[in-house]
Amino acid sequence: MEKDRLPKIISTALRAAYPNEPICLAISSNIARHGQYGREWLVATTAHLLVFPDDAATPTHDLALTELESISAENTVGAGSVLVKTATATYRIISYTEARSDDFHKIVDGLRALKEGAQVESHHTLSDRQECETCGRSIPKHMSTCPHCAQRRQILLRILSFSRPYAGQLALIFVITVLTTVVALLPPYMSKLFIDSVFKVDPATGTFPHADWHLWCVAAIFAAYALQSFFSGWQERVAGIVGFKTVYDVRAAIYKRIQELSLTFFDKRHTGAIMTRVNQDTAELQRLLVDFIPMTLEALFSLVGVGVVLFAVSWRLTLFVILPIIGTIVFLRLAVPVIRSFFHRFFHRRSRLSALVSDSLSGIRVIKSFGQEALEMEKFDRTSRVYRDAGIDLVRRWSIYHPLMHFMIMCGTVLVWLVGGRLIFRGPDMPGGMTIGDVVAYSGYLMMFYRPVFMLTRLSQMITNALTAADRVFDIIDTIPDIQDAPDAVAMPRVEGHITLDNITFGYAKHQPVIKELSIDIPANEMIGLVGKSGAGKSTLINLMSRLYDVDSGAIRVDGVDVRNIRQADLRQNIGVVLQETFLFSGTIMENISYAKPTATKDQVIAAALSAHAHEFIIQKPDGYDTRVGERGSRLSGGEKQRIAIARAILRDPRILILDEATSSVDVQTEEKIQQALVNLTKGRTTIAIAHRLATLRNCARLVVIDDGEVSEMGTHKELMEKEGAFYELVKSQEKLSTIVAIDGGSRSEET
Amino acid sequence: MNELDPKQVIFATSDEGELGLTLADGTRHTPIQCSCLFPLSDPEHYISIQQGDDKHHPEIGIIKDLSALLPEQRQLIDQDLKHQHFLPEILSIEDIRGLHGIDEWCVTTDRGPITFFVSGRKSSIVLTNDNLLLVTDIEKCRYRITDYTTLPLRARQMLERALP
Repeated sequence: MEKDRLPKIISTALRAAYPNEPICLAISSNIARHGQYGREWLVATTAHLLVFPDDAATPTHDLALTELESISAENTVGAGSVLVKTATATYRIISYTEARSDDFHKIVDGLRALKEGAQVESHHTLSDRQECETCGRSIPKHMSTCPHCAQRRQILLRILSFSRPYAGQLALIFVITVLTTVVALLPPYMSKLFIDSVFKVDPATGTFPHADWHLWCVAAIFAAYALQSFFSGWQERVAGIVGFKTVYDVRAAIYKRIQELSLTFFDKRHTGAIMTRVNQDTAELQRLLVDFIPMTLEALFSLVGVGVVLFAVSWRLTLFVILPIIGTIVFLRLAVPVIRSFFHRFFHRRSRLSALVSDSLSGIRVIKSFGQEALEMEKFDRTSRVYRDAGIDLVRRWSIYHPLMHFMIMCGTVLVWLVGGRLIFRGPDMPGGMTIGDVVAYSGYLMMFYRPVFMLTRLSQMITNALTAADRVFDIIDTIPDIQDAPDAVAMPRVEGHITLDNITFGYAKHQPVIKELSIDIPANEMIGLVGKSGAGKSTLINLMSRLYDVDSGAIRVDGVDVRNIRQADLRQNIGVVLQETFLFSGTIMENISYAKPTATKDQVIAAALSAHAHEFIIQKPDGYDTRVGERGSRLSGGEKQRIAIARAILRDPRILILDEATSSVDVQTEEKIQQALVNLTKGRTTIAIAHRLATLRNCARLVVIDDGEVSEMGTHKELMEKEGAFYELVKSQEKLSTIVAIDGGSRSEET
Repeated sequence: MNELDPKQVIFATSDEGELGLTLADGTRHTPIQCSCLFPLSDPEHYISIQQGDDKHHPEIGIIKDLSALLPEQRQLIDQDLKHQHFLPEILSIEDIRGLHGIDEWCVTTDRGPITFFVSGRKSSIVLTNDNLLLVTDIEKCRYRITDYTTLPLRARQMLERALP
């Protein structure tokens, strides 16, 4: 608790100054008075508000709560301050960075409550930042685990838990790996046999005493290689199958969770970032399971297996040979970070270049119409040159490091002939002496030993990357949706459509309410129009009614039941939306209309299209209802897309209709068609329309003018016009605008 | 553009510490707030002076060149800008440590030493064409490096590795 961390010197000073007032709130900032990073303390007792520098007994501010007229938290760029206003002046009493903004907004709420005389307990309003149980560091916001203590092993176990259904196959992979290693040890031993026995001439007789072994040894080598190929194929196959199956399960889990998550989650993240998680991160996971883990296993086994054999053949030689290996590992540890920084720079410059190209290609119309081709070429040239130089730098380094590394490995082989040769001269019967066959076999084993050593140094990095990807995947799977069905949610298959907004408050960021204590009652089958400036909160209100977000306080009721207690599936079934920006999935017109009701028959779809006045343009298309609409429906005009969206809503036949009318201008004829379609659509339903066009407003029973998250006016079109208030102003300014547009349009037609 | 003549206007701080402005015609505005119009590319020029007590912060005028102000006048503006725009400049990089999927940066800025975490996402480090680097940590705090090519080699290497 932050209160407990209050420095002794401050709490003592407080007790001396205000002995009868207990401390209610305490929070430390991270910017000091002069704007440097530092710490100050804001402390509130039951009657006073004080600010102390860290570890000093004299407060910089000492204000009685009663003399404060207002307390607020002000956001600036990257930081914020608490402002208090007295009768004479405004004081900026304490500042903090963006990271602490939420904490201080809570403190300000607490201070206001204190001023009102409420009981405020410190722990209600303290920093919600968690501390790591292992290392005691505070965990940054938006992170579930402490970055210092996140355990690779735990994530690995988690991935393996997804593989649990395939435990049998995993055991099989293990066994095959051991067998592969054992079989691989055979061929070098055979070369020893060949040299030391099979092709050895008996000096006494001049013959080959072991010539009869020849065929057997060849057969053994043949079998060893055959088995090795067979085992490696088998292992690849089993590991691949388990990997694909596991990743399929993981991908299903992540996609299911993404569909369940509420919009709040998507507001905070880029679509691109989420797509990366579903596609790339799971692919990375797959590589981990299919390639890296079996490769690591194999490398470890052969490292141990070959290592033992090396020692067994000649421990003296091995002690020498280990030297260059240690040298190589040290070299790698030093060189790899440097090389990697060059690789990173290279990749970074490359992605910048491709970003530049894609940016200028999508803006090619603007470039051409402003005649800026030369500028673009220069921009490209500059970025391309930087990329080229990064590539050259990389090659320069690589051409030193890579051969050097190879050379160091080969030094091991040189040592074998140097030291091993001496041991041969010693003669096989002396202690430590070796035969020629021993040395040949030994250098064979040595090559086998290097491979896993290098693989392990590289794999460590690859596995870290893959585990990071896995972590990101689990981050999504572990996210709990904000909006969930209450356990006692009621089933409401068909609602009447009576909507009550009861004193609701909501903000996308908790401390910035967009909707403020707003109440509206909409009887069933009434059509109301929401009017107001952009940013007033109209679209937010609509999002709340469809329960894409939950209100912070107050309640939205449908037929008297809080929407939070209605089964989400039922609620959505009863609400139809026609959004401002019509989104069509890539597919046919038929598919797009029937998206609202996949079970709809062709008759029903055509009927819906007819009353949406969409049928008339669909029949003109060569492919009729089978016409494919491209990504975002690019082959249809704005008016056509809108009518398809209306047909979609008609087909769904919802009790409650939400209409976010498009602002994009369409020609008069299309406008008429859309209006007719809307009349058909809104008949006999509760309709909430965000209306920009006066024509739509005429159909509304009542208009609600929203300003800054509050209802500023409510009434019929006529009433509001007679009142000459905010609505009247809006209409007047729109009329003025349309006159300008009309004049402008007229002059343009004269020109042509 | 309503350009304010640096020689004709007077900035002053009240006893309560509020920054105020007196225009050439004698009009007084208290409190005011300053905001830099090109905070990243040209922080020394084009400073917009706005009314501080109005919710919409209407602009009073623009000071085109900070260096044309008298030193003590300029200091007042700098102070306010320092408060309005918290964007520490990274002066040296002590360490960038790759933790699990996230980098821990230990740096010294013009506002003092600080440690923060940067995620490996593309948007967290932005490099403009003028070698200006903007780093956003996972708590949405931003830091700038005006010209990263002037950093010492070791710092640059750590930086290159941290580039997403």
